[in-house]
Amino acid sequence: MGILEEISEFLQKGKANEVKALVQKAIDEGMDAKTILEEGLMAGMNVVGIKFKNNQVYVPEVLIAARAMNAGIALLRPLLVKEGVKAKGKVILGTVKGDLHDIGKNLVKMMMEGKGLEVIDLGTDVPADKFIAMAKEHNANIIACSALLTTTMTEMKNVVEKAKESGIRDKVVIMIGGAPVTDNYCKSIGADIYRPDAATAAEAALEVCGK
Amino acid sequence: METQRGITIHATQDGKEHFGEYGNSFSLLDYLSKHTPFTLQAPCGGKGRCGKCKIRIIGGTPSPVTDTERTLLHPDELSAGIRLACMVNPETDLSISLEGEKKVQGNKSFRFSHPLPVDGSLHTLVLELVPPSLEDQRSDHSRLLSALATEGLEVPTPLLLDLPQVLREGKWRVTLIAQKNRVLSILPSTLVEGQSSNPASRIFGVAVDIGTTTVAAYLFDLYTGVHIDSQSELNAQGAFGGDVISRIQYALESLSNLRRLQEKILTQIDELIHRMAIRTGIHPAQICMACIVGNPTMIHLTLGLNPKYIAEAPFIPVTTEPLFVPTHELGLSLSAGGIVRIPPAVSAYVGSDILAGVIASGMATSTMRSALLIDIGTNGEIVLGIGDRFIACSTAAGPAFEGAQITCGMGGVAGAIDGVIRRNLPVLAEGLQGPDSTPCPTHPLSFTTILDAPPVGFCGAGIVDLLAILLETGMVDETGRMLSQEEGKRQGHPLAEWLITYDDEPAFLLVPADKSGTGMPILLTQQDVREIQLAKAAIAAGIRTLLQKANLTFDEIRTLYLAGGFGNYLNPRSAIRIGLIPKELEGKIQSIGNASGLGASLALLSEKTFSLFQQVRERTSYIELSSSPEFQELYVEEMMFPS
Repeated sequence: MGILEEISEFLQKGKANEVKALVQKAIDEGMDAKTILEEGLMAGMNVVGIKFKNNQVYVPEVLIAARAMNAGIALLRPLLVKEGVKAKGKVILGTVKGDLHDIGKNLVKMMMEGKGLEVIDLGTDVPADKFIAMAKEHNANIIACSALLTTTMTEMKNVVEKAKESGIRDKVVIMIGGAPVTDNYCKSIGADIYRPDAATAAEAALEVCGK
Repeated sequence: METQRGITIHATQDGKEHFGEYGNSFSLLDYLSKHTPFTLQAPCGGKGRCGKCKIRIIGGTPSPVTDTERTLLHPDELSAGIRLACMVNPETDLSISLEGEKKVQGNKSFRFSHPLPVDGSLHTLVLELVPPSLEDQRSDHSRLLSALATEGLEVPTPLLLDLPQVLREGKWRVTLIAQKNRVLSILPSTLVEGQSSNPASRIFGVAVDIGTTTVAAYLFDLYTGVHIDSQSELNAQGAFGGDVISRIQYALESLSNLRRLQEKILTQIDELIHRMAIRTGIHPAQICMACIVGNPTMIHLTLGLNPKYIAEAPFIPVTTEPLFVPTHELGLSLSAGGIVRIPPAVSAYVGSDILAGVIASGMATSTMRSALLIDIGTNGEIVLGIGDRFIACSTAAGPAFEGAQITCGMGGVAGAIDGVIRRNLPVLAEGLQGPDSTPCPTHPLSFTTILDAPPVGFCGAGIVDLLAILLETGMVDETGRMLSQEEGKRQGHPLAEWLITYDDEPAFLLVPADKSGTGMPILLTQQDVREIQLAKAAIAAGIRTLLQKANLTFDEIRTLYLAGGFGNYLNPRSAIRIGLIPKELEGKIQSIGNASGLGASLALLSEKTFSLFQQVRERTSYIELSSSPEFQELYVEEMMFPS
């Protein structure tokens, strides 16, 4: 097994220390950071994402795998900057105002990062204005909103409205997700993309940024 | 009639029939919940997500089957005419039947065998009035007041409604029931005296526990504290969502929706009271007090208060204060002068029902060592008592343990599987373990159902039992992954024979279609296991967070009180096996049944207990888990099953 496959394997098992050591070893062997990231870390996270989508692994395993991924990325980050490797796209992510649910949003973040996207995480209880301001500031490709309550998901509509008002609606794709959200709801409020789970959300986001 | 051209709906449930005009309802669920007395549970509130509002089309043409229904219903169900009420509109007159699952089992915990303590704050007064005549034309009211002149009692206006009849029926001899200086009821003396030699022993009160899922009412003799009767049913608001958030969501859509939810619950309470009165031969005017507990959302909806800010951070209810509401304001048909006591709540998600549990468990008064109280319902509320202080939290466990979001899940009603055990098979027949064999005819697991009715689904306790066995036998691993059919075959365990593929997912079959009460198989799917992982992790992490905050170890906990219907049926061993309750608490678990109902009854009968609610509330601090980093971390950790 090559070192990249090994990184991927250990990442899937959530072994942060092993991933870190192997990434360091790969760097020392002169492999470029981009390759390590894409064919080692992201490849592993991709497998986790597929298994998660198919219900074979669950939230804890994804979180543990993500911890391992982050341990590897921390080592790669300065090298990626030096190599001039840019993120494949920028996503402004947060749970909407009035809603404090964190975990689903964090899963989305991890999966998106696993696809090589830069995620600016605004946390929970995020007002619509903040999504817009941050999207402008970072010139983001995507605004992704999460809500876990039927009472707070109406706030997503505000985000869409505010994006229109501020004139950035045609520059940014609005993605929504969370337990009570449906595709119909997405259409009804004029958002762009709904995905039922974190893994497919990350796939969709990558597709958007690739265009 | 002009309306003859409209579409007519003929619906039946439990042998009762209803005919009505469909009008401009936007779905059958909408129609049934607004225009019929039938109860249909729709945990997701009619959004086409949960697949629980099943009805059967008997005749007529419904709208075509939607994609949503194809996803949520099994092909066998669709071909048997089962549809989701929230997705169907009639195209012609329609005849449909609703599954009857309204009744909750009359379970043992609903009986209090000993009289509860009363504080004697009620007093009775027998008045002999001078009959009117042409010479004495004073009004009934004046006549009563002048007879009362020396007593200093206030007669609430609504009592005038029945006054003429009461005075004449009693032949101008009436019995007044008063508390402090307020008259609660006026009864013809003939009525009370006819029933008992001691009129004072014929005054009644009702304690009501409004759960999001179940409503229970208890009738008491207010003088002796003797429990007379009880009734319980699934909450009639069930068609508007299974959890508080979807009810709030519905209530917020319009003022008439809020009114409708209020009317549903008040009508239901009134019916429960009526039914008990009829069964026990009591006149409603003899029932002069009620005490209602419930989570803050239920109390808000009962009082018609706006629940909006309960549902969004920072979660602020309109009121958590103790209230005394005249019965006539709520339209309850008790004595017109009666009073409804509403004990206080702690916060938006820890209500009077939980304080009632703290009081009923004895935690409020015995403060020697630390104890925990857990009420697992649609939310999982947890209270930790340390000395005379309390710390409380509420975990969004979701209604999984109430059977919602579970493929074959249901509430604790007749036919629900409430216990699963491994059958003692003397010798396993060898030939049945081969990879190509058909499932052995005898299932290695046996089960019990509520009221011994034919099995129709799982209630929470049954799910926990089954999952514990699946974990123990390796059918589900500690990460929650269920073996696939192929993996099961290779593994060769007798239980593995019952692993199947259902909707492209692994599932464990407990009851084959031909043995179930619905004609549909009863099974637990991979996704169901995931739902349980979320729910049990929330409870377990809540317990650990409270202990961390209080700097306590499990050793210091003397008792874990399990309250609520689910707690009552739950097998503690299974609960520990799946990690719902931390293993460290093994041997300390005590089920106390419907503690909220008992607490409400105690507060009904005694003002002192009622004021104890206020004291406990003042000694309780609330911890908001959704913003606690400790909780978030523990929550994820607890999603795994103990190995």
